[in-house]
Amino acid sequence: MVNAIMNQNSTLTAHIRTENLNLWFGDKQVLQNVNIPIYDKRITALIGPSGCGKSTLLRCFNRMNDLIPEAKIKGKVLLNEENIYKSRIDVTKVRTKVGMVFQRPNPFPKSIYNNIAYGLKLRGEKKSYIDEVVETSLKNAWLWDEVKDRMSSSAFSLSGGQQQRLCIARAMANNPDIILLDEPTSALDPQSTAKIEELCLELKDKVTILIVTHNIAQAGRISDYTAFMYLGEMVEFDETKRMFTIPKDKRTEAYLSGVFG
Amino acid sequence: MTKRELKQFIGVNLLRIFIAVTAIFLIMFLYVIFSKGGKIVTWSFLIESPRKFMTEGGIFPAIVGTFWLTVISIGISLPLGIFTAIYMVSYGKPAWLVRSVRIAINTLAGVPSIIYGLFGLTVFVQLMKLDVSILSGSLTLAILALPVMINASEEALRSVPKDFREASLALGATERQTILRVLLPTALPNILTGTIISIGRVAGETAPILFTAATFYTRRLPTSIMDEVMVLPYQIYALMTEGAHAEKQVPIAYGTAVVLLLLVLFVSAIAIIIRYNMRKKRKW
Repeated sequence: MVNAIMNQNSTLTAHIRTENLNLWFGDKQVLQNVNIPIYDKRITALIGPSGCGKSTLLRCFNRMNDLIPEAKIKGKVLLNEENIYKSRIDVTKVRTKVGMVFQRPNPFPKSIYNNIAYGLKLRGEKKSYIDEVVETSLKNAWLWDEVKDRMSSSAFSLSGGQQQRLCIARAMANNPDIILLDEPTSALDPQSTAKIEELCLELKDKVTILIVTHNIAQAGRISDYTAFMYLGEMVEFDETKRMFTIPKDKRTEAYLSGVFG
Repeated sequence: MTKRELKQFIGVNLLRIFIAVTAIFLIMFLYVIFSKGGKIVTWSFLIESPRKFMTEGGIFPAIVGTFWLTVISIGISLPLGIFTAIYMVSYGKPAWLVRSVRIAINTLAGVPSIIYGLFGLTVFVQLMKLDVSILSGSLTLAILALPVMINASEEALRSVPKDFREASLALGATERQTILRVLLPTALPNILTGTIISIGRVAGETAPILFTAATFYTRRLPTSIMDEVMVLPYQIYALMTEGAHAEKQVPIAYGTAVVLLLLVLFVSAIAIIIRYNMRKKRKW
């Protein structure tokens, strides 16, 4: 079924995709044979009930599951057709190309400027270049006007919604191909949420976006493609419009109509 | 008054009594030391060398000795403690190694300080032929301070939110960069707290330096770390137990105690100010 969709969208290239991806935490299998394409310059939403493995899948794309010692992975994750799980790959390079924004805003206890500059400083970029990127990143995250006069104050002086946009700007400063958003609005108020959603729509011209969300309506509002996961399986992947009107699988239908969640 | 109010009344007042007792001991302590030694402490007492076998003159060499012993021992144990803690927190493998290190640390923390003195004498003074010197004493004190340093640093590093580490790694930082740029700066104020505690402990210890660094009487100042030195806590001990002029020595002993107390408070105050400024800048 997924293959059928892929053929249908043959004009689109999959920026990143998985091939028979399986993942275990200890003895417990969390992901089962997942195949999903993430299309270039599109927003793809991962939805599903709690514990279905959507966040775990997300963390496969930038190898953040490496931090969990008991995690074991089989299968491939292909970033521009290169398997990021092959041996002797530079994980830091992968994570530079695949940015991530977390559920709770997590700016560093540093100034606004140094938060954005962090990734660039790691790679020893020049000061003038960093200044330039910091400005464009903040502008891209619609934060520039709010913070341009207090670049040296602590990132914690910002509101929750601003902090989350700062985190998006920080990820964008690395000039990634893809950014992964792990329920980025679940800790935010409705207004900040709306702003982040608009921002995503704006950013998709520049970057491929994969977003995990608990909020079905949010997936409907912003995503081009939706993947529904259930018990570690990829149940259905389709264009959001089509899936939300005529889901093919009974489980998808039940979830979308709020039978379980 | 109902039964509940009565219980509340008794409970709160009991706590007040306990607090008062604690406060009284502290006040008595300060009163005794300062009333007996306060008058001795004059400017010349601080900046002069002792005369006539410690019955006259000042205690400047002992202040210098204590200062160097404290600074050098902290200078040795702080990096050692931080690096050990980083290893235990960030790498922590293999598990048996970390476990043995932790057992070793906790055992070391419980060893009486006089045994550190004997150890220092055997290893640094005799085996490594460093003689009775500032260096031997500092090394001995550094080992004494190490458990506190490691525990404080480990605690501080563990209390850094996991979010920061994830954020850093997700931006393409290596483990080393994450430690240097995020973990350490965030944990530093709490590591300093451990350092402050260690300074107090190190500056006041007598037993570990008894055989490794201290001398009772010298009129000259140390010129290198291979010299033996006069040290404040040991001087108090010596003044109270040796010599033949108790009526002259005892007041000087109390005066020395006042100086030692002020010195420790002074060093702690500096560290507290540094920590305060660091915390003001970083909030989370």
